[in-house]
Amino acid sequence: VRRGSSSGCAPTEWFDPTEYLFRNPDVESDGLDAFFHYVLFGRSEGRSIGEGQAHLPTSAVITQVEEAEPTPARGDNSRHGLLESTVRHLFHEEYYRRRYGSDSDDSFSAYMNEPDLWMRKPNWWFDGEDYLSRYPDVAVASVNPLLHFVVAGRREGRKPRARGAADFLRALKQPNVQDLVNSWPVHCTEHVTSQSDVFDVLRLRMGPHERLLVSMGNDNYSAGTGGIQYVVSEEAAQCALAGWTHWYLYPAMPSPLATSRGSQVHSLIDGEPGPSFDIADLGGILMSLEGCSVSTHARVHGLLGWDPSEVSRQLARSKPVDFYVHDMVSVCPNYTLTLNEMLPCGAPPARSQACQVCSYGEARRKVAPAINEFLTNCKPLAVFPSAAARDEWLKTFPDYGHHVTRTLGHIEWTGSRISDTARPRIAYVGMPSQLKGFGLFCELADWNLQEDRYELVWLGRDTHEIPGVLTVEVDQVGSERSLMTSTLAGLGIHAVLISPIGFETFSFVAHEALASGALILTHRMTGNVAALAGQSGAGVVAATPDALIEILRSPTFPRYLTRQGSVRPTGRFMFSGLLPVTEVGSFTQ
Amino acid sequence: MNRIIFTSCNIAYLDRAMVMLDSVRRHDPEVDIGLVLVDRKNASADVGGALRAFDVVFFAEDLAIEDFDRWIFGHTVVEAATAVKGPMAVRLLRDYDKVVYLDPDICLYASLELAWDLLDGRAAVLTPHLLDPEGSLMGILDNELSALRHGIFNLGFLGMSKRNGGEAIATWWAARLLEFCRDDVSSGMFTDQKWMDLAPAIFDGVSIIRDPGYNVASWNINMRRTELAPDGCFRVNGRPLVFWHFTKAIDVGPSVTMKATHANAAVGAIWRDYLERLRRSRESLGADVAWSYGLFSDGTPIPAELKRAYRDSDHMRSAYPHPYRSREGLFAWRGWRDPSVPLGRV
Repeated sequence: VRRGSSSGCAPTEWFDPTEYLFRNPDVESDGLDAFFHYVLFGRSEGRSIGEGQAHLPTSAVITQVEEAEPTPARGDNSRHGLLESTVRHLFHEEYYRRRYGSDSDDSFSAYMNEPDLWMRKPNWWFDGEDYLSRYPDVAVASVNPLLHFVVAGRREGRKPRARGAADFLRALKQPNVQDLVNSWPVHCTEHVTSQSDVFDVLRLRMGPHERLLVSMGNDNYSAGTGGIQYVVSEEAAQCALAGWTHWYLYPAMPSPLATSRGSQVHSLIDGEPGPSFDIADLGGILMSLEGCSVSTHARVHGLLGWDPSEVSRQLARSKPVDFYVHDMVSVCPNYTLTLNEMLPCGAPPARSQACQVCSYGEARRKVAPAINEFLTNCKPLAVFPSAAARDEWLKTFPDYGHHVTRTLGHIEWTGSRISDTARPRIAYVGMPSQLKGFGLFCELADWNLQEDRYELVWLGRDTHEIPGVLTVEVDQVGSERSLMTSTLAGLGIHAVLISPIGFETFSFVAHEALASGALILTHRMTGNVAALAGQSGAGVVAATPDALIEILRSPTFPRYLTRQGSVRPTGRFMFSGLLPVTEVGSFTQ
Repeated sequence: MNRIIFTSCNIAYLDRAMVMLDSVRRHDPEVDIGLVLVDRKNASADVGGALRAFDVVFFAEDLAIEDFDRWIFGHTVVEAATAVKGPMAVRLLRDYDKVVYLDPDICLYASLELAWDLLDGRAAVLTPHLLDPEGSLMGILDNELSALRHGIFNLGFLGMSKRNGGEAIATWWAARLLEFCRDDVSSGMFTDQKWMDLAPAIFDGVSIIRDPGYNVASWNINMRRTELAPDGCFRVNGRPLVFWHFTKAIDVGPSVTMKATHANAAVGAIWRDYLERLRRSRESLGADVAWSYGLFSDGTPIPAELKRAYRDSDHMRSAYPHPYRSREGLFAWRGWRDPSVPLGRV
C-alpha cells in the first residue's frame, strides 16, 4: 500500500488518486495519501471521487465474492441467485417502508445500490450505521453492509448490531455536567425585593391566615409535569383547603446540581407569583414572621439548584423542617445514582473507583460536607416516599434516626376495565429520556416492526413520530391529574414499560399504570418501581434490562399479557395528607 | 527503596502523559514520575508548565545517544518514542531501585503494588497482551495473530529492578533498541515489543503478571469481563482494576472497545471519564504541534519512507551527515517528489 501510494497507483478499480486530488484540491496540501484521505475523512465528508465510481455496484461485489471463493457444485449462477435471495429475504420490505416511507418503487434495489441508504436499517436487527461504524474495514470496502454481513461478516463472527451501540457512543460524548452548568449565564432579575418588603407582601397576601408553609423546590411547579412538581401542586391545594398559606421558593437559576448558581430566589404565594429576593434574607424574614405570631413550617422538597450550606444557615432557626427525599440528590448530586449516567451505581463510597471516574464524583465530594451541615444544623425530619427510598438513603446516612416513611399516596380501586384488542398493548409514558428507559422502548419498537407482536403506544407531552408506535399527546399541565390514568385505561393498555437506568423513589408513572389497570414491566434496579410491581403482583420484574427485553421477545409473552391484562381493576390515585404534621411521634419511626 | 514511573512521548502526546501522571499521583503518590520528551527543546509549543509537573525530565537528545541527529532522523515518531525507552531506563536505574515504564495513554485506577512487590525479588515484570485463549475466529484474527506479529508482551508496561539482573536486561534492551527499534513486522521487528519476547528465555528473573486487572485494553477487553462491584470498585474477571491502556483514544478506541464488549456500560463509564480527562488535558496544554524531528529545518514534513531509506542506507547517511538541513538533496536522492514544491512546477 505504501509503495503504491508513493508512486500514485490506484488502489482499486473504482478509486483514482489523481481524479480525487483534482476534485478535492485542498487534500493535496494535507500531505496525506489520497486514498487514505478518502477512507478516513473524504467518504464521511461526502467528497466526490468521480462520476459513477463512488461505490461498486452490488452485482460487482457478488461477482468478486464468487471469484474469491470456490465455485459451488450447483453451478456459477446458483450462488449468485442464492445470495441475492438470501439478502432479499433479510430485507424486510414492510419494516423498511414503515420506517423510511416509500421513496422508491423497488426499495430493495435502491437500498442495495445507493450508498446513501446503507446507514439505514433493512430490518429490525440489522443497523447499517452501527455496522459500518464498528467495522471500518467494511466501510472502506464500500460494500452494502447487509450484503457484507451475509457474505462474510456472519462467518467472521461479526455482530449485525451491537446492543445499545448508539447509546454507548453517544453517552461517551456527553458533556460534563459541571461544565454544562458553569457555561450557563447567571441572570439577575431586575426586581429584587428587600427583606422588609417581602415580609410586607407576605403579611398582605396571607390575610387572616396565621400558618405558613415555606416549601422549597427546584423550579416553578406550576409549569412542570414532573413528580415533585405534582406533589408541590397538591401540597398547595391542600394548604388552601386547610387555611395554610403556601409560600413556594425556587432558585432563580435552576441547576441540575446541588450547588448555588446565584443567590436569588423566586417565589409563588398560593400558586401566584410572589416576590423575588436574596436567599440570605430568608432566615430574617422567617424570624420576623414568627415575631408576629405566624406559625411557620419549612419543607425542602429537593436540594437541586440550592446551596445546602445556605439552606442550612437560613433554616437553622426554623423548626420544624421537613426534608422530602424525592430524589437522591442528598446522597449524590447525580440524583439518579447512575455512574456517568450509564449504569446504576448504588452510591458507593465517595472515594471509590466508581466515584473517581464519574463526572459527578468531584461535585459529590464537594457537596457532601454541605449536606451533612444541613442535616446536622437543621435536623430535618427526613420523609421517605417509599421503603425503597428509605433503604437506599440510609445506606449513606445509616446513623440518621430522624426519619419517617410516608407514601405519597395510594390507589383507590373503583372498578375494572376490559381490553379486547387483538394484540396486547404496551405503553411508554413520559419524556424520551435514556435515563428513563426510552432506549429500551425504542429497541422493542424496532424489533416489533418486524415481529408485529404488540401494539406500542407512547404517551406524553413531547412525543415525536417513531415507526410502528402510536403517539398520544397527553399534556398534564393545567389538566386533571388523572388524565394519564384515564388515557391509559381508555386505550386499553395492557402493560407500561418502566425501565429507568436510575433510581426511582416513588414513581407516579408506576401508580398511574397500576390505576389504569396496566401491568408494570420493569427490572430490579429501578427502586420503587420494582417494589411496586412486586408488591402489587401486577408486574414483571426482570433481573436486568437485557433480561426484560428477552422476556418481551418470548413468543409466549403476548399471550400472557393478553390473558393477564384483558380484565383488570382500575382506580384512582389518592394523595396522602401533605400538610405539616408537627407531632413527629405520630409517624412510624 | 526509591521508585520511579516514567513515560516517553512527543509534545503531541503530552496531553495523555498528563492524564497518566495525575492518575499515578493519585494512586502511587510516593513514586517519582519521569518523562523523556522526544521533541526538540526549542519546539514551538510552550509546555514548560507541563514539564514541571514531572519529577525527572530528559529530552531525547540528552540521553547520550551517539550521533543523535542522524539516529533520530532515521526513526518515525513511534519508533523514536519507543527506542528511547531503553536508554532512559538504563539512565534511571542509576538513581532508582525500581523503574516502571508506562505508556502515556495508560491510566491508573489503583497502585501498582503487585508489580512493585515482584520487583523486590525479580529482575523485570511484563504483562502479556492476552491471558486467555480466544474463542472466536475474529478473536484469533484480531488478537492472537496480532500478538504473534507484534509481541507477546505489551510494552505499554514494563518494570525493571536495579538488582536481581534487571540492569542487564535494561542494558541489552537499550542496545537493541538503538539499533533495531523498527516498525517492520515483516522482518520480525515491532519497535521495542518483539525484543522482549526473548527476555524470559535469555534472562533469569523475568516475571509475567497474569493479573487481569493489569493492562486492560482493546485487544483483550473481549476476554476481560468488567463490572462495577457494590463497593464501587471495578472488577476485571473478578480482580480489582489496576490500569487501563486507552489505545487510540481519540480515534477508533471507543468504537473498537464497544464492539468487543457489546456496549458494556461499566466499560463505557470508564471510557467516558478518560475521554473527559483527556479533553481537559488537551485544553489546558493547547500543544497540538507537529513532531519537531519529523520536519526538515525549514518546516517541510519528512515522509516516513525517506526516514526509513536514510536509516537503511549507509551512503545516504554518509552523504548527508546533517539530514535535517538537507531537504533538497535527500528528496533528490531517490527521485521522490518534494512535497514543498507545488505539483504544477515539477
